[in-house]
Amino acid sequence: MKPRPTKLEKNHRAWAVSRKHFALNGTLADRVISLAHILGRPVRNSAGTRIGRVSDIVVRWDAGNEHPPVTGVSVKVRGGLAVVQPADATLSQTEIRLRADARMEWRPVLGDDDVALACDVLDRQLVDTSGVQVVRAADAYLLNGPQGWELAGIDVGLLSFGRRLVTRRSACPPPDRVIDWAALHAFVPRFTDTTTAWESAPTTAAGTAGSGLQLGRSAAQLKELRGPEVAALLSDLDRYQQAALVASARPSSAVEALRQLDSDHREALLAVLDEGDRARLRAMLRSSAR
Amino acid sequence: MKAPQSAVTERPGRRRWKARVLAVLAVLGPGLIAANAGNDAGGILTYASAGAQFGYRTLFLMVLITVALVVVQEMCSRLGVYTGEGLGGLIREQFSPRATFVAMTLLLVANAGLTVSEFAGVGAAMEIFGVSRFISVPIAAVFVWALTVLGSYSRAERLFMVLTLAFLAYPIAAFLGHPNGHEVLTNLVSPHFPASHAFLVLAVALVGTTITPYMQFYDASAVVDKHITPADYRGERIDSVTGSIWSNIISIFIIIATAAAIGGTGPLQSAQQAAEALRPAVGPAAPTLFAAGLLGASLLAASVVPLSTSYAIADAVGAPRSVSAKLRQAPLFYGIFTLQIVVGAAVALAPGNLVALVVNAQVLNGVITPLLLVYILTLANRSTVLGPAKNGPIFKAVATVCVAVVGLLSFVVLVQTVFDLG
Repeated sequence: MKPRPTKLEKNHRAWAVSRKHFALNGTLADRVISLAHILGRPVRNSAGTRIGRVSDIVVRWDAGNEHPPVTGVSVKVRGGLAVVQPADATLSQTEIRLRADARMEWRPVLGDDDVALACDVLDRQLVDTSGVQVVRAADAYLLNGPQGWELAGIDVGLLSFGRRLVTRRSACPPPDRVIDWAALHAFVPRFTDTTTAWESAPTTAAGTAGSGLQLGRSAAQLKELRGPEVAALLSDLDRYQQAALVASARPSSAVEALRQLDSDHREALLAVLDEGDRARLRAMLRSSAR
Repeated sequence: MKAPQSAVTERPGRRRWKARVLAVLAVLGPGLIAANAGNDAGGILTYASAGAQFGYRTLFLMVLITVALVVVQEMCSRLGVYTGEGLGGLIREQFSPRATFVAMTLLLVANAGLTVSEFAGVGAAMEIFGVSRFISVPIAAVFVWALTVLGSYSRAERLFMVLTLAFLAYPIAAFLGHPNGHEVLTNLVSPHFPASHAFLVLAVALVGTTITPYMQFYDASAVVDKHITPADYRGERIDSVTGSIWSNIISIFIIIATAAAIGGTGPLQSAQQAAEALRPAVGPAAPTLFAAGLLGASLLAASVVPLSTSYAIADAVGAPRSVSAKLRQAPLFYGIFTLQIVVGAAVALAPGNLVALVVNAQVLNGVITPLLLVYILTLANRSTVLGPAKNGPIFKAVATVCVAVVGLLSFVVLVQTVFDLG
C-alpha cells in the first residue's frame, strides 16, 4: 500500500501546483489582481472622476464553486458604503473604472454565502486541508477567468506580508507562498441579522459564548481529515475556530480529535458548539468510551 | 448510589459557597503566574534599587502602579477568555499590517531588554558565588537555548520556580528589619512625587518592571491555553486581580526590606548589597539565599521571555510556531528566540555595573509599555472584538487614565533624557 504523503510533502506539492497556476511572468500577469494592493485604490466613473475608493471585495462562496466568483466590489464613498457588480466595472490593480450604465447598490446586505475578503479572510486564520495546516492570509489573488473574476488563492508568505508594510504596488506582485483556494477553508462570521446593512449588522462572533464562525460550505475535504489531523489543526486555532472545525469535520474524526484533548479543553470546546452538535458529539464520546 | 455524607448534611447555602470557591480555584493560575512573573531578576533588582536609593518614598507610586496593573491584567485576561486568541493574533486581525509591525517590533525590543536583564541577573547571582559573569553568562545562554530547543523544559522550569521561593523571605525580612512603621504607612497612603530626574527615571523603571508587555502577552495566551471560557470568567477575573495585588505586595515588601537595611545609600551598586536586606530574616545565609533566588528567577525568565516573543511574532505573521517543531520547520520562530538569547547574553557581558544595566533595561520597558497598552486598550474597547464584554464606560475611563498617566511619565523621562534636562 502506498504510504500517505506527510504533512510537509503535501505542503510542498500544494505550493508547487499553486505556483504553476500563478505563473505571473506569462499571460496571467494582467489577469491577476492582488487584494491587499487594490484596497484603497480609486474607483472612478466612466468620465474618470474619482467617486470613492475600494473598501472590500465580496465573493459568493457556496458548495458549487471551488474558486468563488467575485459578486461585488465594496466602495467607500462619502456618505457610506456601496457595492458595484463586477460586470459593471473594469477591474485593474491600480483602479476600478465603472461603466456608464453602472448601478450602485447602497447600504448592501450580505447574503448567506457572501464573504467580504478584506474583512473576513485577509489577515485571518484559515485551514489548509491539502497541507493539513493552519495559515494566516497575507494576501489574496483574484483571477479573471472564463467565467469572470474569481478568488484563485491566498498568499501566506512572509514576503507577501512584508510588501504590505512598504507601499501599494501598481502591478500585481509576484506570489510568495500561494495556496489554491480550493484547498482552503475560511472562518467567516455568522451574521445574526441578514436584513440590516452589512456594515452595521451584528454577528455572534464577538465576545459571546456560542460559535460565531462558520466554515466554508464546500467542506468535502474537511470530511476527509482523519482524527489526528483534526487534532493537529485544533492546536493552532482559537476556541471559536476550533468549534467551527469540529462541527464541520466527519463526526468520527471529530470524536477522535476530542478524545485526544484533555478534559478541560474538551469541555471548553463542547461548550461553544451548537446545542445539536454538542449533544451528538457527547453521545458519540460516551459510546466510544464504553 | 449513596450520596457522600458531606453533601447530605451540608446546607444548600454552604454548598453554593463551596462550589463558588472551587470554581475560582479551578481557574486560578494564569493571572497569578503572569503577575508574579514581574518579580523576575529585573524586578527584584529594580525594587531593591528603589529601596536603596529613595527609601520608602516610592511606596505610594507602587500603590498607583498596582491599580494600573490590576486594570491592565484584567483587560488582557478578558481578551484571552472572550476571543480565545492571544494578543499577537488579535493585533494582526484588528490593526493594519504597519500597526502590527510596530507592535511586534516594540514587543521584540522590550523583551530583548528584559532578556538582557535576565542574563545580567544570572551574572550578578553567580558573582555572589565568586564566578565571573564572563563564564556564567555564556554557559547560561547555551544552557537555556539547548534546554528549550533540544530538551524538555518542564522539569527545569519546576526547579527554577522552586529557587524563586527564596524571595518569600523578603516579607519576613521586612518585618524583622524593624522598618519605621509610621514612615512606611505615611509613604504608602500620602501622595508625594519628588521632582527629580533620578526619581522620574526610577518611577518609569518601576512601571516598566511591574507592567511588563511580556506579562500582558503571557496572560492572554495563558488563559487561552487553560481553556477558560466566558462562563468561567468570574473566577478568572478574581485570579487576575488577586494575582496582581499579591505580586505587588511582594514588591512593596522588597522595597521596605531594602529601605530598612540600606535605605538612603544611593543607587544599588551590586547584588551583594541587595542581599543584605534578607539578613534580618536568614542571617549569614542571606547572600547565598538571595543568589539562589536570583539565579532561579533569571534562568526561568531568560527562557520564557524570548519564547513568548517568538510565539507572539510568529502568530502575528502567520509563521509556524511550536517548540515541538524542528528547526527548519519553524525558522522564524527559532530565529527570533536565538537572536534574543544571543543579544541578551552579549549585552549582559558589556563592562560596567550589572545592576545599573538591569535598571536601564526596565526603563526601556517602561518607555515601550504605554505604547503597547494603547493597542490593548483599543482592543478591549472594541465591540467587534469583545461584544458585550468590551470595556464599560467607567472601566474605559479608568483604563484610559492609567494608560495616559503611564504614557506621560515615560514621555517626560524620554524628553529629559534626550535633551539632557536632568
